[in-house]
Amino acid sequence: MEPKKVETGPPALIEAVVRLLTPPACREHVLGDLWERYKSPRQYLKDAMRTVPFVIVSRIRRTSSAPLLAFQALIVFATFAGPPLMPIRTAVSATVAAVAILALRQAYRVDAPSWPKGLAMDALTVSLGAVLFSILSVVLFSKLSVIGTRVDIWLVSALDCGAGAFVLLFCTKVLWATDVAGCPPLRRRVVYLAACAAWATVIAVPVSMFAGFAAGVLMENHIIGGPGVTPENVLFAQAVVAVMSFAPTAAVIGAMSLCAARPRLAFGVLQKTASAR
Amino acid sequence: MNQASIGQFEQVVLTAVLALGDNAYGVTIHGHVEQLSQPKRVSLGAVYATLDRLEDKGFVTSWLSEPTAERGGRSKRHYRLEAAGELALHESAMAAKRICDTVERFWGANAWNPRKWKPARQH
Repeated sequence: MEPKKVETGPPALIEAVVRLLTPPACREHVLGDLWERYKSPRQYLKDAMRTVPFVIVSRIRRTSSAPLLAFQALIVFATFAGPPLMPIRTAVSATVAAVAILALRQAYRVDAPSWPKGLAMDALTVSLGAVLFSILSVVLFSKLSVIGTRVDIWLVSALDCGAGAFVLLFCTKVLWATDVAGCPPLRRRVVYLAACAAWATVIAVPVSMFAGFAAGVLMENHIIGGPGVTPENVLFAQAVVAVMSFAPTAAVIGAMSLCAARPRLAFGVLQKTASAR
Repeated sequence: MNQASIGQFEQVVLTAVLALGDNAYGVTIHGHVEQLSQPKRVSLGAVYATLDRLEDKGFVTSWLSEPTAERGGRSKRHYRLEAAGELALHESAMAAKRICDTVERFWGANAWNPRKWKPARQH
């Protein structure tokens, strides 16, 4: 008869969950210590539940700068509380979500973010999280559906706020860049932000003008306003208005993303244009 | 003179690191801390958080050892008391000694016997 296999370590599934929850920087010794103390799956789970939250909080304390976190929270709150249509609770939800994402992203980071792509990705993740939570707070607490009611106007407003938060968070991260791989000195970072702003203006202004012109044409032909809009095509009209309202903001985000993905190109073209003049 | 002060729990953790010497890592430190803080139970997570704080203050340093099979092929994080930590621990131990001396002067030798000692004023 084959001898019964003696259990010496925790079940693989439970260990995998604990591994996932433990920040990478502490994973090795925390999982090793929990393994060494292992007696039964129940005891392991209890031990992990009394250990991992402390480890996460301690990691957040070590990796996050409280003043910078507070400043970024203020940015998100200000951008989401600004528009008159926005209820204050959406700004609060967005801020709470942003702070949680910022702190956890720092705590679970394995390598330093790259310059400037990593910083743009950070800002994008945080602002998308903020938009998502602000939408959830309205949908869950107002008992409204998002499409086909006045909430769609509010939805575009939330996306605008998210875009504003992205731009401001990106600028903050560029100026306060710490522990960033290949980060240039502050003077060069300020010039980089100026290049970003120039590109945002160059791209957003024509887009904004075109959107305004297109809106005029569509209004004239009663496609998005007036007697032409019937209950059957109201959704289409609302969608067109939403896309046109968001177009300039999307152009700004596109320009910033381009500058983050190809910083040399952003600088190079700008320098060539300046020297040609 | 040491500038940064330490709390009561930090004092217990530093004492455990001092007592364990070369064998000071998460599990052993936690075991020693539980012994010192009896009858209070202490979680492993609280010990980690305190060790992180002490490391940030420069009172202890840590390094990872070679992985071992009895830990599922994982390394131990060893801790060592630094000069600043020794100073801080000495300072707080001196304060504790002064408290002990004062208490003993008022309560006598019974102060250290939990069976014989009773509060002078009971509600």
